[in-house]
Amino acid sequence: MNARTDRTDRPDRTTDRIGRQSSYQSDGRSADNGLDAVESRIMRAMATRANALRTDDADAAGPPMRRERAIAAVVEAGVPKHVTLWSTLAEARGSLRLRDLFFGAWDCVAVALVMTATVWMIPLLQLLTNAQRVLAHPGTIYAMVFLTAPFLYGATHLLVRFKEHESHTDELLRTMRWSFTRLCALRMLVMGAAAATLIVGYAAIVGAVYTQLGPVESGIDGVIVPTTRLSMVTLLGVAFSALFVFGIIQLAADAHIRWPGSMLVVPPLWVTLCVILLVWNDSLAPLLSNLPPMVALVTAVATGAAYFTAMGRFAGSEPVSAQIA
Amino acid sequence: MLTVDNVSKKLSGKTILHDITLEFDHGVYGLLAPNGAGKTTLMKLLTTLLFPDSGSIRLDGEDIVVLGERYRGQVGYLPQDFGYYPGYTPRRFLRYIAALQGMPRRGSDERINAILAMVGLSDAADKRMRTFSGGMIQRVGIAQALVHDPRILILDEPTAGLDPKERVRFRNIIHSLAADRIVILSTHIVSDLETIAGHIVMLRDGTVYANASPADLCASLEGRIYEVPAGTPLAEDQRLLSEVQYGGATRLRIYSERPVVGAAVGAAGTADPAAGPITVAPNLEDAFLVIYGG
Repeated sequence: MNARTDRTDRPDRTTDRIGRQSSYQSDGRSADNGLDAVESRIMRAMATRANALRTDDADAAGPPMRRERAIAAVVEAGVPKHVTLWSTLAEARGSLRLRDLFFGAWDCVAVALVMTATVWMIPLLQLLTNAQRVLAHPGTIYAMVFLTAPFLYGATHLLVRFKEHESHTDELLRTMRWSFTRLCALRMLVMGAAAATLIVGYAAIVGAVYTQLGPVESGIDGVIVPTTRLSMVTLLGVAFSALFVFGIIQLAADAHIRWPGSMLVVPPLWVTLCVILLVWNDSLAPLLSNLPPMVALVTAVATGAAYFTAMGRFAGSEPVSAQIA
Repeated sequence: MLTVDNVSKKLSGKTILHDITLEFDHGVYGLLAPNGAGKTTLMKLLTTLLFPDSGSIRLDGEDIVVLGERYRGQVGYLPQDFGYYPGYTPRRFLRYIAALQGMPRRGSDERINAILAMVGLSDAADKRMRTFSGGMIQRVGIAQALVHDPRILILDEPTAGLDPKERVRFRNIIHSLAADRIVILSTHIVSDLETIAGHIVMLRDGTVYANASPADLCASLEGRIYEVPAGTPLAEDQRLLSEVQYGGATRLRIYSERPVVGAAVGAAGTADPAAGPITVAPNLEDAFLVIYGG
């Protein structure tokens, strides 16, 4: 251990009259600096704690208990805190307010809301203009809702990040004590919650319009066909699954791809998915129409759990996009 | 103490910094180099905006990347291209920065008022920043770097856009702050550093070319800086550094490897414009021009 911790004690370089450095080759000794730092911190904490224990005669606890306490203190002092989503939320309560999360970017949130309202009209228009076909197979509505549900989340994320990049505030934000990933994680969580709330309303409107239209004549010889009932549970399950799947993909992009690639990957991916679902709509719609509500619900819960797990990891990670030249 | 230990950094396949080793203790450190010499890259490494390809940067022996938020919380940074929100007031902006720096809500307003007064923005604290001049925006930038009372202050081209009066105010602020913290400021404006920097770090070709006090840098050129009448032909080992005006007359300030024959000893500004060569006391600008070419 001494050999490793001694690295910081090596002699300085020789300098000439104006402090010019003599050159020597880097020997790559810094490969495990992270471990060294933790190690040296633990050693210092142990020394401090040992000194404290030597003078701690008043401690009524026996030696084994004191030893346990000392170890716990050393570990607490030496090992960096593990950042979780919950610790982030708890810490945010003390310093960050909702208005701080989107500071300077509320205009982006407003624009995203308008854009979302426009996009969310598509399934309703489809329902009103192509009622016969849609009523025969509500799977078309499920597919539409799946594709449009994450729009608010995606649009807000994209616009806010774009504005911060263009206004050069992102560089400053990355140097703050609150890491940029934690800030983004909190924003995504808030936007996710807002999107989820709106999705419930959205699904209710779609469901109400669908019910209002009721069974209609099919186009073939004016024969009335029974329509498959639109399930609100399935609709909500599909909408939330879409939101969480989109969120997971966006988190993965943010965690592994540098700006601006991280912003440019997910929307085209989702558009591709849209095209696939539209092209195969005739085949998929009957399948989706018979999607059991429980399956949709379980999928939503599972993707939700996966999303929060991914979010927790993201909040505690160092941003790959911090590498800005 | 902040130490940069054998740090190298490549960007887009080009080596920007190679095997940099530096130590920063209390005081003002000036990074002096022409544009494109790697100052901003070094600043970004010090603020964890970039990570070293090799080597490490340590604060009191601990790697700053490992320290993470515990390091960032001790750093105040003014980027070269300071981004701000034109629709907001300095006070609201500083509250936002204070929140991101983890300052408790209670007590931060008092600190913000003190910082706004320090940078001379108390009267404009509640005006939208879109009405501000470039110098006022730069002062907001300095204020946000100071709001959480950082132990390390990193300022990239902090005097850009400041008028002479604001520059003097800035120097006074930096001077008062440097007593108990590390202040690292990069600039290519020599006069910014001459009076306040205790140490000058000069980068060339991605390496540390010089790391010394301004006095030592000037002393290294002692006896090699001359003023000669305009039109004097220069020898091969002599380089023109600048031109100096004395009323209507112009004299040349030159660097000479060898003593100039017949040169008298004088001081800049006191010589007779028509007089022959005289040796003059070197200044930091001479050192900059000698190292980076006149």
